[in-house]
Amino acid sequence: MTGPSIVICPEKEKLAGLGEDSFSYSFVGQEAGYISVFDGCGGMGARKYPKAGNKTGARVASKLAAYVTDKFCENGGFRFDGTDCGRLKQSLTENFARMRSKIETENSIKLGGDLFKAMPTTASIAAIKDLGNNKLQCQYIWAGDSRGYFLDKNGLCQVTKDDIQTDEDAFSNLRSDGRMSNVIHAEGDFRLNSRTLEISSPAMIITSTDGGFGYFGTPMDFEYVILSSLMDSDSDSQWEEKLSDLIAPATGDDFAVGIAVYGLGDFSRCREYFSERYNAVKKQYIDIVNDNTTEDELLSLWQAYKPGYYRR
Amino acid sequence: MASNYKMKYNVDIVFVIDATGSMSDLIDIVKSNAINFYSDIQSVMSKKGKTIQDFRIKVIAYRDYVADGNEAMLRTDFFNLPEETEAFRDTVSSISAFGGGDEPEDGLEALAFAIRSKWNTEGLKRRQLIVVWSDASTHELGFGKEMENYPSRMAADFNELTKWWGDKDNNGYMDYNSKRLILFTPDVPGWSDIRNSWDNVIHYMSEAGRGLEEVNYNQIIDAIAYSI
Repeated sequence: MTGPSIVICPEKEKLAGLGEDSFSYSFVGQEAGYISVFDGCGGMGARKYPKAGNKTGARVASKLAAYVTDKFCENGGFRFDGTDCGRLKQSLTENFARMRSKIETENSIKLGGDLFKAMPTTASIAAIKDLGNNKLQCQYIWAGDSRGYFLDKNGLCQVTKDDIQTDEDAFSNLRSDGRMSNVIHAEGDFRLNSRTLEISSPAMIITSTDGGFGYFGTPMDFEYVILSSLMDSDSDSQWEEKLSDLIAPATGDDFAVGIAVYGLGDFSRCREYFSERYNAVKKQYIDIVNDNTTEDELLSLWQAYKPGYYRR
Repeated sequence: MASNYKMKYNVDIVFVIDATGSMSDLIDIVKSNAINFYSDIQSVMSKKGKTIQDFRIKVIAYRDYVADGNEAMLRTDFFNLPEETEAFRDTVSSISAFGGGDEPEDGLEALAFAIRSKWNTEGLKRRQLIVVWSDASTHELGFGKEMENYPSRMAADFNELTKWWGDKDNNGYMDYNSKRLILFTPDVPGWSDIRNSWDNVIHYMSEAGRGLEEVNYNQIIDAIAYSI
């Protein structure tokens, strides 16, 4: 059994020092580990906390969630025994309540309504256990609209289901920007979702905030930028940089993406393994789109891509 | 690069302003910043990496049908900004704070007019924002219905107004995913009922009767920009 051969976490703040996305990952011991991303919700969490350096609740929340998840892993929290999600929720609830009591002041204007939450953040966590024989046990834990995926020779597959008010697929949600129905926050009444899958390697396990995938024209573009940046790179660090460079000009948000590659010994092997899929995506879904492509034509491309995207 | 495809982003905002006597400070803030409002919003949005393609704004200033007769409700059409900034500024400048009669005002009627605005339905990404400023509670809908100038096609009661706002199963007059209601009002009947029962609401709870003196312009800009 081995751990991931490559781990990258491209991320960028739209405004330096004011970003509301965070990530954490750990693969100590190599047999099990996790990648995670968190997106502090700027609208719901716009309140600023003077006792936290005038940071917004959204920024405080995503940083805190990343820290709590890392401590959870460090303390052996990911046991893959069906209790991980409940114990992580308990830890997040306690730590968020403690932080809120530290930083909230009495004299600030009171806020209410369903669009306000104290310290709100999304989460997408993938805990991964290498079972050997090219098998991975992947436990996806999430809240809100940050997503967990895997990407193998058959393409990108979204494993998580967005917590949004309306029933939208990944294509229609790029247009309608559906309102979230559930996020982690300091008032405690939130839900952590969980799905555990056995995935064959070679594969990439991916987590992303909506800044990573949510500002392209189609879901196919997200797979394409992951693969095209890989094809255009000679090392892990270059791949991380190039993927960031492709997402940054497209996105209207901070972003954080985590990718762990399993089953491929080194970078050049990884690039070679995914080249066939890259060429297929480029030919079928990317090169044929231009300024004159209509919405109906894009929808038709999505309909062809969708069964594979939701294959698990 | 990913496929060469750009999404449009359109924003409509309706300002619903309590224009009774105690609101003069807030109205002065809106007046003095009207000329820069578009660029200030754009500036915050561009820092967030978002560009608005079409930006429209309209104003509803309200008082009390019983106490203020023909001065009870001022409504404009949407102004396209930045092209119609001068007209927007002139309209806002014409609003002055007076009247109101008793403490509750006809804020729910004003909100009803706002909900039934002719919203932009073009573009793939849209925001439909209503921003309400008041330092008072609201009459029940229909309080002034005996008055000659009371509108004929008004929601009969709070339940009907709630249907006009809609929920995830019933869009009402606005798009569920696009709409946001921002309340800068006290925690008093009318506004608190909305906060407790409507979706897509954020309520900045000011102190009743103090003219929103704790609300400043930057806070308003932030609240709007973060809701887009």
